[in-house]
Amino acid sequence: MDHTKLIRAMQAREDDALPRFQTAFAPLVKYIVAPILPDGRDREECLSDVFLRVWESIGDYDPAKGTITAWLGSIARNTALNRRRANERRREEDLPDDILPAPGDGPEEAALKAEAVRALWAAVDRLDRRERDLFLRKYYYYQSTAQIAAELGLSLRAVEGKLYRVRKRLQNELGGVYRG
Amino acid sequence: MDEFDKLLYQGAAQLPPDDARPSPEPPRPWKKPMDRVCLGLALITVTLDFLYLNVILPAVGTVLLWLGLRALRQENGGFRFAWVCATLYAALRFAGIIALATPLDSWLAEVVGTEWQTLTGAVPLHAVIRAGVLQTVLALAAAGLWRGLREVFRKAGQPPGAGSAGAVAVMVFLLFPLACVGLTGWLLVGPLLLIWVLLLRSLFKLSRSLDEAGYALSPAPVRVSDGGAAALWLGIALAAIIALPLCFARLPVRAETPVYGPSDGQSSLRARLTELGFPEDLLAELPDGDVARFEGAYGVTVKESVNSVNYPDGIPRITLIEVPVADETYGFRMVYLARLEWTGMDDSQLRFYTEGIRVQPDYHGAFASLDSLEGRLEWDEGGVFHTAPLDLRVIGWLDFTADFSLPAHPDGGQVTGWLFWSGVPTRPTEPYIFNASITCAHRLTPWVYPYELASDGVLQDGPGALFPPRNWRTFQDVITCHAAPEGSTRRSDSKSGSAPMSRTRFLCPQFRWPPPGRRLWHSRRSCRCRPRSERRGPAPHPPFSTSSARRSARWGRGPRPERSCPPPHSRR
Repeated sequence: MDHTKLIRAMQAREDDALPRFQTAFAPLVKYIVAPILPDGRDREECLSDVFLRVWESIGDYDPAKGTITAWLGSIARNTALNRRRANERRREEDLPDDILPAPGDGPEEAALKAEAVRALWAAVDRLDRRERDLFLRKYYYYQSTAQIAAELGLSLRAVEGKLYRVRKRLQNELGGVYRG
Repeated sequence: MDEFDKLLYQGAAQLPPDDARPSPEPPRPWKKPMDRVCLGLALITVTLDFLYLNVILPAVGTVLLWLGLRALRQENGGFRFAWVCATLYAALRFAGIIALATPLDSWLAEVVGTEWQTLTGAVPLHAVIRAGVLQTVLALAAAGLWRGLREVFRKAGQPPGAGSAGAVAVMVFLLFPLACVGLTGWLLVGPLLLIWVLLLRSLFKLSRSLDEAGYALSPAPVRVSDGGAAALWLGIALAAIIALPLCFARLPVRAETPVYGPSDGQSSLRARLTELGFPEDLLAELPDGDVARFEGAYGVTVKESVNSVNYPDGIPRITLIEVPVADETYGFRMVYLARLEWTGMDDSQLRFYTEGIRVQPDYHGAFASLDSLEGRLEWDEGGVFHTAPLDLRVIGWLDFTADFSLPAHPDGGQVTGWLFWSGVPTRPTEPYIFNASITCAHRLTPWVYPYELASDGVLQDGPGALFPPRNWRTFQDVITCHAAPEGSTRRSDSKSGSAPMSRTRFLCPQFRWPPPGRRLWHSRRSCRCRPRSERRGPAPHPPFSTSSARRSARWGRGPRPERSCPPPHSRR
């Protein structure tokens, strides 16, 4: 479907643009947010946050840099991750957000972490298309193994096996950068 | 979650800070199932009749449709209904594909009997019913898909955009009545092409329509991966197609052990037939019931073809005996006996094969009708004499065929077949020269897909007869026959231009060999002639028809030596 008119209407701040945008893209945002935020109330609040951020930053969207779904997906994912991190900090749990440059990170540590991120994505780029898709689903979009299996038409064991091979390959590629 | 997993989550949480790559495109959960559904529907409706694509493409399409709907089955009632229909469709479709490896179709055609008339010809009614059921189930699956998609749009809070799925259902349903009518030429191609283009357009729109609402779909988990499930469907079908021909390659032989009474009941008739030239050895093999067919005989012509190939190829040696008999109603009738002799057949040749025979008793309208059709096989097994009746089927005007298997373990690999038929002449007062043929077919392999009886394929007329059959060996004798009332001179005619024959001879008919378009393994023939002097009574000049008179003038040029036969024709 051609979303050009809708995006222009959003950028022109037309009155009915946001409701139309929400109707069109709410399923996508929910789809991305759901695996990251298990709690329903969190998801609803996150949905509002996402569309607020979209409304504020739609002017920055450049169709030449990617599709609207990729751009929107990125916003939705980041918003959901931020909410998840906030929730986790509140619960004082140790979960995978501590690589992000925390307020306490010094410049040297931040540089090391940025280098690690660069190495990881370079290794991901070297994966084949299916393995990369699997990696993104699992580690970028936080999808569960069951969801991946259902969407790819694979059994749980098959997905676990494939993920295991992806992890092994990344482990070999990353060498000293990541020590699992 | 181990330490490395945590590191991967942390590393993937953001893109590299100085990297200009675009954000990854989000996964599209509906894409794989919907693509499969659309591709499946497209493949199912394609019929390409070469390289088995008419079987392979629909089979793959059926599996894709089933896999696509399997992933969607838990989403809502519409998809669930569509999946049930797709499962039923797959079961019926694969049952049909597997059944093609068996004689089920022939059996059903025999049981149902009725045919559906289309503009292009008759189609077995059971095939029409089966196609109707399949197409209805497929249309119901498409209708379920349409309802399921409407529900998805409703769930996504978007206006229903599933019209294209509804159009697919309607068009799938429309294909069946079109096929039933059997339109030809552009009347068929035009509407079908239009529907096909519209169908593809609808399928394309169907896939695109989910670009937004499709994220509301949640594919169902599966225990067996799609690849495994597809391999299961196709593997079972393939295994059945390979295995079943071994079970059904042979037709049942309804063996009986008859006890014939003393064969002196027709002693005078036997003596008369012997006097007329009926081979004594053959006569001795016939029970009284068969000998009685020749009551009133006033002539005998024996025509023998020898299958001279030096390996046992399943083709019998054929002996045809032509006997005119006096008939109160019609003046005279022609009674025919064909003796088929299979020799040297070993177990491996008999275990998995079927035979076929087609008799075309009259190419030229010499007979008004045929009667007394009968056939049987005879053999010894373990020293016990057995017979089995042959099911003769009349096809076309006067032709008849039989499909059968030879007994599996005949003593010495020897089986004899007998065919009897009797023709009522169209013109009882005139002699008539006409061609007849006997065609034998022997299947060379048990693996013939789709299953084919000789009478349904290789023995039929049509374009296929012009090409050598791949799985069959065939042999055909074309024989010149005579129908002449008692007392008339009987002559033979040779289309191959043999020397003129004396009017005083009871001439030997010709084997016209090989007929066009047939692969033959026949290289020589022998004929037994009987001089007219041995026939009963004088032979007045017959009231020839115009064409016969012309031939008669040619024949009457001079005497011919006694008991001479025209030389065998060489291969053409």
